[in-house]
Order: sequence, then structure tokens, then C-alpha cells
Amino acid sequence: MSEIDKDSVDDDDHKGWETPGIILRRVRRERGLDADDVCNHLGLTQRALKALEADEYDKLPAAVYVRGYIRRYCDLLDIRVEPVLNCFESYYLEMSGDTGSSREPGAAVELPTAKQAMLLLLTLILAALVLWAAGGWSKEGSGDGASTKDAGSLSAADVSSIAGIAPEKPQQPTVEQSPAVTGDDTSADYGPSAADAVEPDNTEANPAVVEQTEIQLHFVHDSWVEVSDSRGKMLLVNLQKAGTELSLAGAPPFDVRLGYGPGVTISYQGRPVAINSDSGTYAARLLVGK
Amino acid sequence: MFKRLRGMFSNDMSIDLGTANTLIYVREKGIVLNEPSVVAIRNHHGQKIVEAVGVEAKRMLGRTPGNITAIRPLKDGVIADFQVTEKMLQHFIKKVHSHSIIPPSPRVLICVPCLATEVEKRAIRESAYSAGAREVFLIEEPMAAAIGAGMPVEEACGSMVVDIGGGTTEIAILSLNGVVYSDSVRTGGDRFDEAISNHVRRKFGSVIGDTTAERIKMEIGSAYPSKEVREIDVRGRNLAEGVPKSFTLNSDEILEALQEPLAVIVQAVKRVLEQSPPELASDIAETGIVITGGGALLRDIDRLLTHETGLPVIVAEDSLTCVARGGGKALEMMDKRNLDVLAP
Repeated sequence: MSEIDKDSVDDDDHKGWETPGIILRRVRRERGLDADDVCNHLGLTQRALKALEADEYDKLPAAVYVRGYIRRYCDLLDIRVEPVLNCFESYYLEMSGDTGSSREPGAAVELPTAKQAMLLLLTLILAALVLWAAGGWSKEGSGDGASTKDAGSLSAADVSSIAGIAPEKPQQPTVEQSPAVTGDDTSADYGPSAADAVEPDNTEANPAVVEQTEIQLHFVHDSWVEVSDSRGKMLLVNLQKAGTELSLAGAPPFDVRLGYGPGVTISYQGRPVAINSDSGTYAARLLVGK
Repeated sequence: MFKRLRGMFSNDMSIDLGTANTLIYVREKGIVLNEPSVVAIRNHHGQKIVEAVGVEAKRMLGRTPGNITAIRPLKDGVIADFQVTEKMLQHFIKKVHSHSIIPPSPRVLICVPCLATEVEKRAIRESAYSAGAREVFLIEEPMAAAIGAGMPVEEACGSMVVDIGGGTTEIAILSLNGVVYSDSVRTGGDRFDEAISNHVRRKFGSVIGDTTAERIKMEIGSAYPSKEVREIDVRGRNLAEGVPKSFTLNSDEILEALQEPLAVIVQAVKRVLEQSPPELASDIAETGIVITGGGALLRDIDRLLTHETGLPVIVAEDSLTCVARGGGKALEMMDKRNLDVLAP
């Protein structure tokens, strides 16, 4: 028995929720593989393997490397890579708060502000030109000043009435509830205590507890595909070859982008999903499991 | 001025102008084009007219009549035919902006081999400008590949990337957004195909086309011995009898055939490791090597490199598009943080 095996004999008690490290170590033992064999096959040091099996990712290099180590380790153990990688993703997200953005560089990028401003300016100029050409602008400005004034006062009244109803109502119950929950009289404590009362609900909706469902994709033709789940986790980014079939697990709804929509069939919970592709580019984007 | 205005309606793009395939990554859209770098030219009374580009042209490779020639304008990662490359780029840029009424004038970032000469870089730049680009930036392929693979290139820690493309294999050690040491060998996926064709000619006395050789490589090609032996039936023209003949190839003999080009890549990797500064070598020994590019899809190439170097070797996720995606991300980095990861 190698040093790693000796160290971690009594670590396998908590089998309720298996971490990637526990899965890998358990399967390795089931296969009767020694840690030294694994190190030789993967080129990893004993220290790195120990950290991998103990889920000590802070002792390992960047996530891209860890994913690679897990993939090769799974290949060696002859087990499916995706479940272990999915497990790693959720565990890693929880541990480090990493958004996984390194995998999808252009995913959440904002438009450059200069470009946005220029586009807005151009649109405004175009709109002004259209109005001027229609002639409505100059006529209304010189004709009835009273009517425009009326319109202005009406809209102001409308705005104030809407503002009076909309935001006030939902705030009322939360302020009333907070003293009952905390049992505190001081009005200064209302804010924080209200926040405390709301907090547990938010933590219950933690992505770690969100149920996982599966989405199946069948590729009749080659197509680019990007699938992300409701937590923003990128499940798949690839150019899939014709004839491949995939099953992805994640938190619904799934955001699916297809390069060639007519060449792909999607089923969710056993039911086929309709894909409306763009008539010109054949690309498609859909939200599955909403 | 007018170009700038047109630029407002164009998308910044990163182009992986490869020997085998050209990939285009557009900001916020992802990979929008992945087509073979092939152009079919029709010779009409001495005048050259582009007949087809990309997938369509690749289908014509080896099947063209006398007046049409399907050619690959890039060789060993650099431009071999300037005018045809320009036409090809023009076609691809237009295709990406097919919905736009105004002629596109995008900012373009092109990935170039790290050992490309100034003349070769200039040729790429010029052809992109002629194809309608507003601004052209160049980035070294291994840097783009590393960024695309998600490697921590901005950290003061050595990262090693091996990008196996169609024509060249680029190997580089990166740290702090720069290339510390790099090497390039003119061996890649095309050499694998060539080695398979040669093997078939030697063993079966038959000739097969490039497309068939590529199919064999993709289906049963492997870089390291495995227990499972896979087989494929192919047809080629028998040299002695002159008629098409069918024969069966297995993965073991393809592995044998690929030994020569694989040895070139292994030697280059070892050479770079030998040349790396000691601090960075120690980082690489800890983290390992990342393989990108189409060649990374050759079965068990990671196992071969681990066996030869004793280091952890991993294949990047979605290795085929790493360079194009990395180029796109480099453009964003340049805009947002004014980082200089571009080639001079």
C-alpha cells in the first residue's frame, strides 16, 4: 500500500455526497490500482495525486489543468468522464467561487462603451432625420403649444400615479414581518433583521441544491453547439460530428445555441423539443426546460 | 473615416488561418466559421476565377477536371499563394457578415506561427487588409492557443503549450503574457496523412487520396499502443493493376506508420524542455503540458508525450478551436486592460 493509501484509509466515511477525489480514489481501489501506478501513468507527482484525491484544489494548478488530470485519470480507470467532471465543476465552484469564465472567453462580455455610444448617436441622428423628413416635427412645434403642454402635464401625472402604486406595496409586508421574527423594538434594527429573515430563503435556493435534469442532443449533421445551464455553467462547447448523441446533466433551464439547427434533435425529459432555426444562417438559440 | 463608419457595423474577429482549416471567432457569438482552407480556381481563357471556397472546394480536392484546380493557399502555416489567400479571406469575412447590407470592415486578429518571418507576417497582414479589414493585429499561435485553453498565461508561472496544427507544430513556454521560449516544426496533421498514404503505397501497392488518408487517421489513428485494435476498410487504386481495390487497415499498422512524424514532435518537445529556464522548467514539471490544435485529437497523443517526458500531459477542451477562441479573448484583453499579448 502506498503512502497515499495509508493516509486516506479512514477518509471514505462520508459517502452521502461524493466529491471527485473520493470517486477517483474509490474506483482506483476497486480496480486494485496502486497510487504509484497512477502517478507513473499520468506523470503526476505523489503530492499532486494526493491533493487530487483529497479535493485540495488550492494545492493544484489552475482549473484547466485539474480538469485535464481528472479526464486522464478517468480514462485510466475506464470510467465515464462527464459525471466526475460535473461533480468537480460544482464542487470547485462552491469551494472557490470561480465562475468558470475562463472556459468561455466571450460569454459575458459587454459591448465596448464607445461603440455603444456611437451606435446610439447614429440611431438618434437617423431617427431625427426620419422625423424631419416626415415634417411632423416642425408642424407640431409651431402650431399648438397648449396641446403639448397638456400632454406633458398628463404624462407627469401618470408617472407619479404609477410611482405611487408600484414600488410601495411589496415593501410593506417585509417591514411588518421583521419585528415579529426578531422580536426587536428598535426601528434601526428593522433593516438588517428583515435582511436576515430573507437570507435563509436565498440560501435554500443555492445552486448546489437545485435539482439536476438531463437534456439529450442527437446530431444528424455536424453542428457547433453551446449548452449552459441556469447557473451559467457551460456544459458543452464543441463542434459536434454527425451521428453523435449526448446527454448533459445540469440545472434547468438550459440555454442551447446551435450553429446548424436543422441538423440537431433535442429531447428533454423524454419529449422532443422544437427547434426554430434562423432561415438564413440556420443557427438556433433556445431555452429548454423553462 | 468611411472605413470607421463601416466598422461600426462589423464584428471584431479572430482568425485562425491554418494550413488545414480556417476558423473564425466573433466576439459574443463564438466560433462562427470552421471551414477547410481550400480554394477551387477555374482557369477561364487564362483568367483565374474563384469557383468555390472552404467545404465546397475541399469536396473538389482530387476530383477536379483540367480547367479547375483545388489548392491550399497556405503551406506549413504560412501563405504560399498570396492572391488566393486574399480571395479566401475575403470570402470568409463576407460569409460571417452575410446579414449585413454595408460591406464589412472589421478589426481582425490573425494567429501566426511563432517562427514566421517578417515577410510572411507582412504577407498575412497585407492579405487581410486587401480582404477588407479595418485594422489587423497578429498574435503568435501558441499564445492564442494557451489563452483559448484557459491557461494562466498572465501569471508569473511557466506554462507549456504544444499546438499541433495541420502544417506545423508550435511549442512554447509562456509566462507573464509573453513567450519565453518557442520552437516550431513543420510537422503536423498533414504529415500524419502523408505517412499513412506512404504506408498504404508501400504495403498494399495502392494509392489513396488525402481525404481517405485523413479519414483513416481520424478513425483508427493512434499515437500510443493500446489493447484495443480497430480496423477500417478503404479503397484505393492499385498501382500494378490500375484498378480500384479494397483492403483493411488496422490501428497497429497506422501507429507504426505514424512513428516518424510523431518522433519529430516528441523531439521538438524535448528540445524546448531542455532550453527552458530552470524556474519555468520546475513550474512545468508541476503543472504539465497542454496540447491544443487538431493534432491533439489523435488518440493517445497525451499518453505518448507523458511516456516520453514523464510529465503530466493533458489535451485542452475543445482543442480544435482553442487558437481562434484565444485570439478573440486576446482582442478583448487588449481592449479592456490594454494588455500586450500581440506579436510585433
